[in-house]
Parts: sequence; C-alpha cells; structure tokens
Amino acid sequence: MNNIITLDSLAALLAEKVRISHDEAYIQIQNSLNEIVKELLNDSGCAIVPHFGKFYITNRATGEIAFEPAENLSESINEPFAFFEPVELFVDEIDKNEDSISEIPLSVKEDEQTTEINNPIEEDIDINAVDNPAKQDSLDEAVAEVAEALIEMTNKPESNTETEQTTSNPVPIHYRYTLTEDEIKPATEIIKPEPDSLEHSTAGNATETTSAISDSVVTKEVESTETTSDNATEEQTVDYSEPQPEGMRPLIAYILGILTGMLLTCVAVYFLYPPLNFTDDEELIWEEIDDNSTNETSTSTESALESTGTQQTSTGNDDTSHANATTISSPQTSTPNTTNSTSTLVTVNKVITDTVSRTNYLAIMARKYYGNTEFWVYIYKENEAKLGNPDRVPAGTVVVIPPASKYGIDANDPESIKRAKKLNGPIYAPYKK
Amino acid sequence: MDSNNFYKALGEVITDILNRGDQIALPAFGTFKAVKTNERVETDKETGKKILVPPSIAIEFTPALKLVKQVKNSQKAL
Repeated sequence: MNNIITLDSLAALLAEKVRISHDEAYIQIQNSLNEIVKELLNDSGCAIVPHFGKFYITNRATGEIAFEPAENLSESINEPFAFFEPVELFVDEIDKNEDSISEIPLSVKEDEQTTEINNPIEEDIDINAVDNPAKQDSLDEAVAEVAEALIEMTNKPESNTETEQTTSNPVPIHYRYTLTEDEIKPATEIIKPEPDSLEHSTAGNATETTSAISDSVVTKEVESTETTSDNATEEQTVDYSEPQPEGMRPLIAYILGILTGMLLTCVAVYFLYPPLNFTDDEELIWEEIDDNSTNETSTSTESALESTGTQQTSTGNDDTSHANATTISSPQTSTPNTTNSTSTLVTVNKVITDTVSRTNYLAIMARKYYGNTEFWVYIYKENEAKLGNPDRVPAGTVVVIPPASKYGIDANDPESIKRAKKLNGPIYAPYKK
Repeated sequence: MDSNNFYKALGEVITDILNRGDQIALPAFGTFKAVKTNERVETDKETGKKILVPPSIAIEFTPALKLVKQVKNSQKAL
C-alpha cells in the first residue's frame, strides 16, 4: 500500500508477466512513453494508449494534461463498488412524511386539550356532520355499535385501567395517543348526532335515540373514567420520569452494613473474651485482702500473725488440734493483742481463694501470701485434688490458699523454707519419667 | 512480441499495481494514483432531483514538470 513504483520496478513486473528480459521491458516502456509524449505534443494534443487510457491536453498554455482510463482499467479498479448505482432520492416526499410525523403528536395534544374542554371537538364534529349528511345513517349504525362496545367498556373499567397501567409503563406516550385517537373521538361522535337523529325521528330510530341518549350518559361516565385513568397514567409517567435517587440506596446500605458489622464485633468480643470476668474476680479478692491489710495496720500485725504462727507450731505440734482452737486460747494468755488476734481470726475464717492465670501462678501466689516462692508447695498440697502437674495448671482454676499457720509457713525462718523445698521432690515425682 | 500484446500486458500490470493502492511514478512523464471519492448527494440543477452517487475510484494523473514544460513549449512553437 502506498508504495511508489518506479519505471525500473514496473519494467521488472512487466518482464515477469511477459517473460522477457528486464532490460527489454524497460526499453519498450521507455519507447512507448516517448511515443505518447510525441503524440501529445502534436496538433491533436491527444494520445490513446490501448488497454490503458487516453491522455489529452486540456490547457496548452498552462500545460494541463488529463488522463481518462480505459474501460477495462476503470472497471477493474472500481470492482468493490460495481454493485452500486446512482439512486434518485425522493427527498421532497421524505420531507413531507417528516412533516406529517411531526404533526401527529400535535394533533393528539389538541385532542387531549379538547377532552378537558369538550366544546371545540363538538364544533369540529358539527362541521363534519354538516359536510357529510349522507353518512348520517351509517353514522347512526356505527354509533349503536360503538355504544355497545362502550357499555362493555364500562362493565370492565377496572380491567382496562389495569391493562393501561401495565402496558403504559414501557411505552406510555404511544399508548395514550392511541387511546385518545381511537376511543375519545368516537365517544364525542356519539354525543353529536343526537339532535340530527331526533329530527329524523321514526319509530325505529326513536328507540335507538333513547338508547343513544342513555349511552351518551354512559359515554360521559366512560369519558370521566378515561380522563381519570389518563390522569393516573400521567401521574405514573411522571413518577417514572422522575429520576429516583439511586445514589442514596448504596449509601444507606453501606452505613447499615457498617453498623451491623460493629454490632457483630461487639457481640463477638463480649462472648469470646471471658478473661475480663476473671480479672474482675481477682480485683474483688484483692480488695478483700487490701481491706484486711488496712485493718491490720503496720508491721505489728504481721509480727502478731507470725507470733500466732509460732504459737501454733509450738502448741499445735503437741495437740495436733485445729488452728482456730489455738487462736481462741491465745487471747487468755496474751491480753494486749486481743484486737489483733480477732482480726487474724477473721482472716483465718475467711477462705482465701485465688485463680490461676498466665501471670498469676502458684509460685507468684506463694510470694504474695507467704513472702517466698518456695511455699507454693503448700498451696499445691491444699488443692491436690484439683491440680495435676504443678507446671501445667490450666488458667482459670480457682485455688484455695491455706492459712500460713496451717503448714507452719514462715518466710524468715530458713528451716521452713528448707521443708518446703524438700516437698518439691515428691510432688514432681509422678510427673517425671 | 507485437505492440498490442505489450500494451495489454502493460495495462494489466498497471491495473494490478493501482488495485494494490500503489502509485506509479514514471520519470519525465508523470505519476498515476488511484483516488477514492466517497458517496455523495448531487442535485440535478435542471430537474431539482437529488441523486445519491455511489463511491468510486478514479485514476489521478499528475504530469511531470518536464512534460508540462514540453507542452508549453509546443504551444509556443505553434
């Protein structure tokens, strides 16, 4: 495409075609061109090349030369458009049709207006009736037929309106036009011929006129229903023409989705996060303990506890009685520490419990309550039934912490610590294999 | 090879070239080029009828400057 073929390449193509040497073809083409030029420069100013075309000088002064291709050449070149022929366009008729098409909706609009105001149509039909008196008989018959049809219409007005609604949705305007053209015109035609038919009153026609009159009432009703239905359709079309705020729907849905998602996450957090409850319990216990410690102000209470503990160890070893009994007997012996001893009683009577968690395990409890991590052994012994491997206590198990006096726990006494250490072995024995 | 056969072959070769959409440039003579004209509506001035003319391909010949000069000179000689 768009390659420029020179004389050389033209000669090559020709040589291939006619099966002669390239030089020969070149020379022949050159000679023929010279001949053409010679003929052109003659008086005739015209050179005809067979199977190619005709060169002729159009203006010798300016040196304009025209070329008219030969028939076979132009045909072969115009092959893609061979099937086309010049077509005469009936533009005037098309213009007329366009005008008539544009007139149709206007006339329909006029009809619609006239349905609202009945007078103009009546005038129009008056003219028609006067112009065509011969057609009055046929008109009467047509009137009767139309009246019957309209009675049927009145019998089923709702169904008609329904069909109008259903069909008017996709293409409401056209349907309305058809309605007005087909139905309203005959209805108005019915109204008019009454006086004419009364003038030509015969026995047979009288019944028809009465029926026509009754029908006219009916037709008026039909008109009213039709107008209302038209109004309804118009309202519907207005509804459809109004662009619904489609952009709002996704936004509302988006917000609703976010809200539901938040609600769901809240519910999930509430049900899937039980540790919160445990921490609450722990805080409660600690508050109790804090209360106790505030009641027993200063280190003197601790010393009192220790003293009672030592008393228990001293006395309890012999009696092997319960700690409460010894503490009850203690006020008799030592009168100044009565208040302290009662407070200790309270602490002893209250069963202190604690829950095991990731940060609050037996050793930590022992340090909290007894002052040394080695005393976890006694907590384990107290709760041996619940606990298995002391290193694998599941979080959340509630552990009863025994009073320090029960096992003779004393953080300051190296001997009690030694005893606790000795207990390590037998506790771990079943879990070491 | 007679001249009739030669011209027939030349015409066929040239039509092939022009059908391809190529140009033919002959030195000291001119160039041949296929030009397409689109369909158009023409009005007959006498009758006022409008006619839809189909598209067509015409061969445009532009003479070389040397040929144009030769033609001009020929007019002077006359």
